[in-house]
Amino acid sequence: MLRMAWSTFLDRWPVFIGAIITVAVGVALVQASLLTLISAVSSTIPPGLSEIEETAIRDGLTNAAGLLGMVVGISVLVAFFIVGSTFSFTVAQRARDFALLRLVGASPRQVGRLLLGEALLLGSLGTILGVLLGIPVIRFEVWMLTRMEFLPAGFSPDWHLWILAVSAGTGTVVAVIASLGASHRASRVRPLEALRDAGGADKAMSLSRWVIGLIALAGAGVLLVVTPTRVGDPLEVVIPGLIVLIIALSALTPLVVPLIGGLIGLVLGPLLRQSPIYELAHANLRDGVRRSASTAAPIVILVGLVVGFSGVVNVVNAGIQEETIRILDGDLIVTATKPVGEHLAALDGVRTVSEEVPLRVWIESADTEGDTVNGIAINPIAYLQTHRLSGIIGDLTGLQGETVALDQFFASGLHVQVGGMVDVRLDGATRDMQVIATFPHTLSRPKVLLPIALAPAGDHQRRYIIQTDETETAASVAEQITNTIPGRSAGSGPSNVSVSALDDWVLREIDIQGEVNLKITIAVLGLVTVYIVIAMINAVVISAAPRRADFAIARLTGLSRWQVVWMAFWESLTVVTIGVIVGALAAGGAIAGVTAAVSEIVGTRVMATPWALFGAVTVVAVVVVGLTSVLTTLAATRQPAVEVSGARE
Amino acid sequence: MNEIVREFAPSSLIGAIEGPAVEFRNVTRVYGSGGTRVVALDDVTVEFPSGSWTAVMGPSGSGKSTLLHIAGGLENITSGQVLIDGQDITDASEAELTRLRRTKVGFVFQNFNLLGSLTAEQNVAMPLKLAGRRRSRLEVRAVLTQVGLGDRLSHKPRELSGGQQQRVAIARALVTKPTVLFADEPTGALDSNAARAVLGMLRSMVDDGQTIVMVTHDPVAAAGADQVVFLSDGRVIDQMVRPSAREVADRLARFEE
Repeated sequence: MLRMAWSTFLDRWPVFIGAIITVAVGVALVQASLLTLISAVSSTIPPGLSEIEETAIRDGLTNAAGLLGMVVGISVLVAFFIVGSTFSFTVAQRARDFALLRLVGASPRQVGRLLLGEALLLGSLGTILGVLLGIPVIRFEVWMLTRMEFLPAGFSPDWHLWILAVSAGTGTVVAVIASLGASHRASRVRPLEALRDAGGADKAMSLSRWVIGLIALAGAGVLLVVTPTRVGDPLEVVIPGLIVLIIALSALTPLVVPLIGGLIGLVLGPLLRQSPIYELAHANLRDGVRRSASTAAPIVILVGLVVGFSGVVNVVNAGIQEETIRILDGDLIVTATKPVGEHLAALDGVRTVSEEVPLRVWIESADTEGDTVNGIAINPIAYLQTHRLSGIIGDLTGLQGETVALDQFFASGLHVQVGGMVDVRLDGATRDMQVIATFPHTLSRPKVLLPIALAPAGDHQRRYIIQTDETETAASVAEQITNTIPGRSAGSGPSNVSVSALDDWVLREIDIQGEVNLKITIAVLGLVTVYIVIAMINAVVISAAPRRADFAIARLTGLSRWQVVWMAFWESLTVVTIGVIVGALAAGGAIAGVTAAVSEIVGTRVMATPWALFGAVTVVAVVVVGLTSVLTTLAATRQPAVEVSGARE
Repeated sequence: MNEIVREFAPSSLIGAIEGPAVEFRNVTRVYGSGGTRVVALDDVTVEFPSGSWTAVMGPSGSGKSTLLHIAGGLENITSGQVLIDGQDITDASEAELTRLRRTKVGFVFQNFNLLGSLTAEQNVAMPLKLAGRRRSRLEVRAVLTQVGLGDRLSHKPRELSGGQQQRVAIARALVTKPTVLFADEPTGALDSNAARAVLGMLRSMVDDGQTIVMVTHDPVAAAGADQVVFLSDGRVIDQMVRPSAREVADRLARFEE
């Protein structure tokens, strides 16, 4: 059977080359991201750095590891998906071959094994290419992440020999598992199908599509509707929810093909009636529901993943902006690396100064594992004056000595209530501390409040929120700060003081976060997007491959070569429309889920829809698919029509 | 035309004395239901004698192809009984049907249905490989030589003419030494010279004891057979023994009236 698979491959390499490329790019992506991830996790920080620099690098590496973990996960999933859809495509195109084999005595098992043999062969070839391709990919990935400052300058990934085993495993396992469905379907091809002329009208919705579609839809419902408000960070469930929803909707795509086709027919009805080309394109689309759905699959992933991911991140960012504006109650904000609170309080027109010192704290309770979270050290009285907090349980004003206040969601995760005890590790020392109060859960605010006495005295980032009184304007207070504080603070060098109006500062911080989010989106989805675009091209090429006879007949019926190209282009536009609509449904589902959760946490309705990005992705899909369609149709119609239609296998 | 008829006239009917190779007992095949109900075969009882060549004729839609598919175990029946070589295949499982295809039946089609990616030799060897039989290259080559293609072993189907492709297909059907060879319009896509060669080949196979059931539109092809069964609207309406092409053509013409 392996030899048979080999000679089939030699003969039909154009159909298989697509499958090999999808495996190769998948393997390259997984290999590169995994190596970078392992190197980021295990890299040692060079000695001789200050504590702030060391913390920055350590945080950067932790973030990079999280990011790369996501890249690995998404790459593996997308690889399964794309390799799977490519394989099922190659099976659909060769149903007649399998029927013929059955006719001359092959058992269903033999046909299934032939397909698995093919998958193994394609997987192995793809792996070899992928391992090689992984080398430039990792260089590019490290360059990109370093440039985006997710990785420290001079970071170089280590090469591990075991990655070859991982890559080989990834390539072959992805290929074999992804082809299981296709091989099952091939084994069920009936011998009589060899005698029918065309592949015959295939059932658009197979049982497995129904099962996968409905189960994934239910899973996506749970992840996107039920859980987002029940976890600390909605993104933790919404991103997986988005991916599951994409899987669900892709499986169910054949259901919407006739629907959307009908809709397009309705809208363009007058046009369709006038031109035989549109009529033919439309009929082809309705006839090849499965082909349309398979071609649309990568477009669904592209739109769903890119628009959904960045949309979800945007919503969370918009929520953070709402939340920060709602909670903070002050006129000015001062950032400094040395304590300047007393100086600020002494200025004319200053009513309240609230000092906040951000700290990373490790915290655990008797019942749970420890976790490192963001905390701030505060003066509770000034803090309560400058922050609008409702729903505090306990007495926050008592925050001093060995006490902490916790985010209510975080506290319930630790299984502690007001009055309970937690272990807090700070600066290498572990303390037993009592929970004095809990405050409502937020998206972005610190999880732990600590007494200001625990803040380090020396160089450390700190913030001061200032409320002014009526005697001076905020602007004049700001001027006093810039004029008086630098160089005068405690006489030990500059304190890097900067002052801003609070509202400006919030907007600036949000902008910075927005840029970081964009970088994250590009870092996570950049290479995956390239992968999906390759798959899109692939799908168009594979779907056009067996249609030479169709095209030839259309030309013999009287269509010119350009009319055939135009017909195929029109079909591909309709397929893009289907892919974009289904992808938008997936993205929209995830965005709706996260919007509901964020709105509930923040307390006001948050809206942020990435229309511009949606438009850009749609244009990319139209251009890529349209251009590929034109080129492949031109190639498929190069031979005179009579020769093609006359030549049968 | 008479020349051709004489050339393919049956020379031996010895095989016909044995039991039937294929037997239909009150076979009915219905497609669809309600308004779209079509009776493709209507209570057909017919025998295809061992070692003889039977041509099945009739107008389009008469049920010829359905009859052939059912006889070859490719299609189920609605009621009745089908026996091949005395074995009842009416309720045969998929595994039994696979075994049947490996040992008792061979198929030849109008459009050859060769695997385009394999050479002539590989195509012919395929049924043996699938059946897991020890295959000798000599055996495969002998069959190909028998159909006159001993020098085309490593050619792929697209490098062969239609007549040559059909002979590869016949070699593939013969290599398992099947009880019955089913042929569906085997000369339908061939020019008259190639058709003549194929019919001559079938004749000599029958003379060597092979049973052939062939569906055809062509009175000349039918005249090469030992008997002709006429179908119309799913029923057997007539049978002829060793008719001439003219007799067949006249009989067919009467369908039109």
